[in-house]
Amino acid sequence: MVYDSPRSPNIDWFSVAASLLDCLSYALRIDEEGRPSTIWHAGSLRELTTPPATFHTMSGGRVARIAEPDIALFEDHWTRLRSGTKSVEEYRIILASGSTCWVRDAATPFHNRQGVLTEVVGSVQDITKTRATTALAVDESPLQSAFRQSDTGMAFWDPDDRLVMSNPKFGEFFYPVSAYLEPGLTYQEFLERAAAAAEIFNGEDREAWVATRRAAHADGGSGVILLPDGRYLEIKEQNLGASGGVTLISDLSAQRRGELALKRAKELAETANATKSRFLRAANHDIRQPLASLKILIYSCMTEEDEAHRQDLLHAMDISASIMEDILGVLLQVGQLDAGKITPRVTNFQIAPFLERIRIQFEHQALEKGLVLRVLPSQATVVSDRALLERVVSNFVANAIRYTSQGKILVGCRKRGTHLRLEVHDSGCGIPDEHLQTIFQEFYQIPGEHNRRKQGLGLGLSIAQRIAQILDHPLAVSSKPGKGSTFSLEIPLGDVWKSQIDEAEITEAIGGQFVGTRVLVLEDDEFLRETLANLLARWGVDVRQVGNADEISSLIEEDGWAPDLLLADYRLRLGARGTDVAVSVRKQLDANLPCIVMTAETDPALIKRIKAENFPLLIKPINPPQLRVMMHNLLFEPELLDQAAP
Amino acid sequence: MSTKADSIPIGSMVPLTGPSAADGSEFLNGALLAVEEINAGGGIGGKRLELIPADTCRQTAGEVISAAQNLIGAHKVHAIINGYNIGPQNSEYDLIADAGIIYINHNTLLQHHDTVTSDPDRYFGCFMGDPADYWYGQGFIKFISWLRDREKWKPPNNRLAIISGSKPYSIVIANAMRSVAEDFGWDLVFGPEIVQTPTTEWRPVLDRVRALEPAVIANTHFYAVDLAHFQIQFMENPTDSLIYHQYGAMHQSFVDLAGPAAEGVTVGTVIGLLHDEMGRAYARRYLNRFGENSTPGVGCLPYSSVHHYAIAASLAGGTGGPGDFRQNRQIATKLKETIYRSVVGTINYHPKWQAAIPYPDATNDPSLGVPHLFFQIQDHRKEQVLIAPEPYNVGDFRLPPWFSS
Repeated sequence: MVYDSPRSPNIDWFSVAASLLDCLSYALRIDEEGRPSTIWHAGSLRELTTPPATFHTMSGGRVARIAEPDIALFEDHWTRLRSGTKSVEEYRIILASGSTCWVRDAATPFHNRQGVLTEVVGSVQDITKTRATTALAVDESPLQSAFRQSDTGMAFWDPDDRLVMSNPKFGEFFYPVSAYLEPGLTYQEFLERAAAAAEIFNGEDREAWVATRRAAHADGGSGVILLPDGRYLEIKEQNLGASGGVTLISDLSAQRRGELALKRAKELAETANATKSRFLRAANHDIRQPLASLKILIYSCMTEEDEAHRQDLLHAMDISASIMEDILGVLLQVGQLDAGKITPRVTNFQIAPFLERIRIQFEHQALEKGLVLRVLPSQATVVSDRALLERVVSNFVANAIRYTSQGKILVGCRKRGTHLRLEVHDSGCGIPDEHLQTIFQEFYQIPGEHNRRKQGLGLGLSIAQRIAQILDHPLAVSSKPGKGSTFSLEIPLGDVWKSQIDEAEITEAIGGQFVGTRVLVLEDDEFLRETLANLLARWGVDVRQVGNADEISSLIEEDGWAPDLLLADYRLRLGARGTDVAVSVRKQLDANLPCIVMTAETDPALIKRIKAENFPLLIKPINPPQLRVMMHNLLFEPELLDQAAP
Repeated sequence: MSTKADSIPIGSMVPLTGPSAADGSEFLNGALLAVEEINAGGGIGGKRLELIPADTCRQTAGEVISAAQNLIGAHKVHAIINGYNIGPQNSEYDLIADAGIIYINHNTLLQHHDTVTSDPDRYFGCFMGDPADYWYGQGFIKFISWLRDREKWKPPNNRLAIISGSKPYSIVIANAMRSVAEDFGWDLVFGPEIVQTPTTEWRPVLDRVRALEPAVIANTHFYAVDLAHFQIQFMENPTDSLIYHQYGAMHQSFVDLAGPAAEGVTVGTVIGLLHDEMGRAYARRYLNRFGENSTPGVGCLPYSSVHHYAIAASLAGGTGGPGDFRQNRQIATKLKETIYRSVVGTINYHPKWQAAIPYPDATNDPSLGVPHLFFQIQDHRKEQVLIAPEPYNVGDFRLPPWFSS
């Protein structure tokens, strides 16, 4: 190896690669006139030790020269490099010894800041074995060209089964043994070398594989082999009698993959179809029952004259309809699972509000059955799909209530390393050991329970398990017959900073200063009253509106709703005045209720009078920021009131 | 009336007199430094910027509105960029909307969301360069939960006490804390109790809080001097409670007054100067320009926003004065489209709110939000230590010295 002023930190890698790959790597400096000179080169290629660009510009071609028919190719290659484009070209070189070799020259140009080409780094690789099949410097016949460029791998064998020639594609298909594909190689040797290459064969019995392929070759048969990398190659052997034989190889991978995908799609469709049939059979019975009840109830209702009885019938109809709705809901869920349409939307969230939702959802149901539902608090952040997780846990709790006749249901969490284990315990009938696995099968019903209408379709746990699989949350069950069962789910713990708070829009309605403040609007113009109420509601105010003063008493006395602030129009119907109403409301509440008076009148005497009564005044049309400032000051900073009205 | 013929007038509404005059002069410094840097680089489209201050005195609605009227009417400013003005509660937005210019403030108010979304077309030019006060509340609850979950501190119970100042800002923060506390496992046992502020007398409220022995006491008032008195009075008889002060404890005057009593306090800000290479380089330029006693950490808000405006205006092909709705709408669009990494972190305007999106409160990606910073005063003679969030933190939380264990 020769090193001249190494410039790139990668030079060592080039050297190693060059020596391993039997190639010549080089870096060239380009002078102002565009002439290359070698900075360094590494490796060698047969007897080639000088980069082609260097010897091509030297006179005489002492080292080697580019083959005449390929000079144009080589010069195009250089033109591309000079214009700043990476280039790869294959061309022939006549070596000093007179022999020729095909090379692949891949090079990258480098420019200075002014965009002038200054260096070229590249490597030259010998591709004679895969490229040259004919004598050099002789133009190929169309037949030879077709042979060389064909997408089908081809190898010709003489009557003694020795290789006459093979095309580049053949070498490509069997690239691990391509170096041996020289004329004279026997078919047996070819097979043995191929069988020894793990990239071609990685099965157990090499000899059998060789024997099978050998027999196919002798009989002129064809077959498909699967390479360890997943490609399917079709091998066709043709016996040409006294002329020998030909082996043709084509890549069937794309076709095979298409066939397999089609097969899988068909299987999926068949499974979906079978599932649908199972549902229809199961649903047939389950929907028929409430449907039959509904028909009877409707008929009875039509003729029933007693109103109380009619109401009972309507209530029963409502229950039947909701049972059918539940059944259809479950079927829809299974349908979505079968269709693979459920994609989890995984986020970090707090488990506490999640557990609270579960409690609210089932507390009433448990109470109705005389059961105690206890949900223990937890502070953890988890990573899951909130809605899907709720389906699973709801299912556990619903089942627990269904199969427990007395005692309690307990929902709790405990941290286990990087996971949170969410458990649902019940004091129900329990599940015998032999049924612990089968309960997750579709349509499974606990033996001995006959009231199927109450139990549903027996799909719940199957759905829960399938969702848990989608979420990648391991699901477990343990049970003692007669004592109760525990269903649990392992959920990954999350990052509290990333915890999503269930509020889509951050607005004053949820976080403003007036959230929960009770404001009473007294205004006889309905349009203005509505507008004001809407504005206040947007600020999170608990707003009530009345058109006349008479309604206020009942609001306070009957509804027990006492305002924190009154917003009153000055001139009301029938000569009433807002200021007088404010005074009487204050009396009723026995408190100094803050009050803002509104008026459209601009009479200075009137304004003076209202202010003299110590009422902050807003002139219509109401300006929202002004109202906001005034409300804030009245409620929180009364001493600033004088500054409120600009 | 205004300015030299070929310069671009930029207004700044700052309290140069009155109780917030100290912050006001820093806001003006920050804007001025940015203007000088932009002019040194050739201005916007070859035109120099000219900064025109308007005094907002005590920052009441009336004072801020007349400042805006003066800047728009007399000086024909193309944009108004400043720090915060507590008091007007968006009253000034209508003047901006009528003139159709760009307005970037740092009012930290949730009302901004409401005003802008109530009529996006009218308020197209109104931007808030920092996140709303609301985020302080959420972020604070996540912060104490993070300390707890990572076992950086083991709370003796889950009790939380919230004391609020009487400004809308403090009330909103307190309400936001209350709204999410339970979800994160905190039991709100006190407040939000609204104390009339400003005040330096906290003993009555502290006595009631101490009796509950809460794990955390948060004070959402934000005047540095008032908070220093709170801290001194708490230390008269401290409980094993984590103390969190809202923003004001960031100020040097808090530490100057509270002295060693300040050590152990945690403090948050939804926007602040980062202690990274970029932030420190800016701070050096600022101190060189305005003297060692100036505060780059306050001036950084308008400093960042003036730069952001200049970028957006350049992309839009120039600025526009009052009445030039077309040009200013283009600038507003570019402000929303152009994410800007400033000395306070990434300014990324929310397309609807037109306010900076906070990280990690509203985005998990630090490259898409301005960091909500949490500091702890660990040595009152030194700079506060940035303890959250990652990747901006430089130190770890330490148990406050007043803890009994």
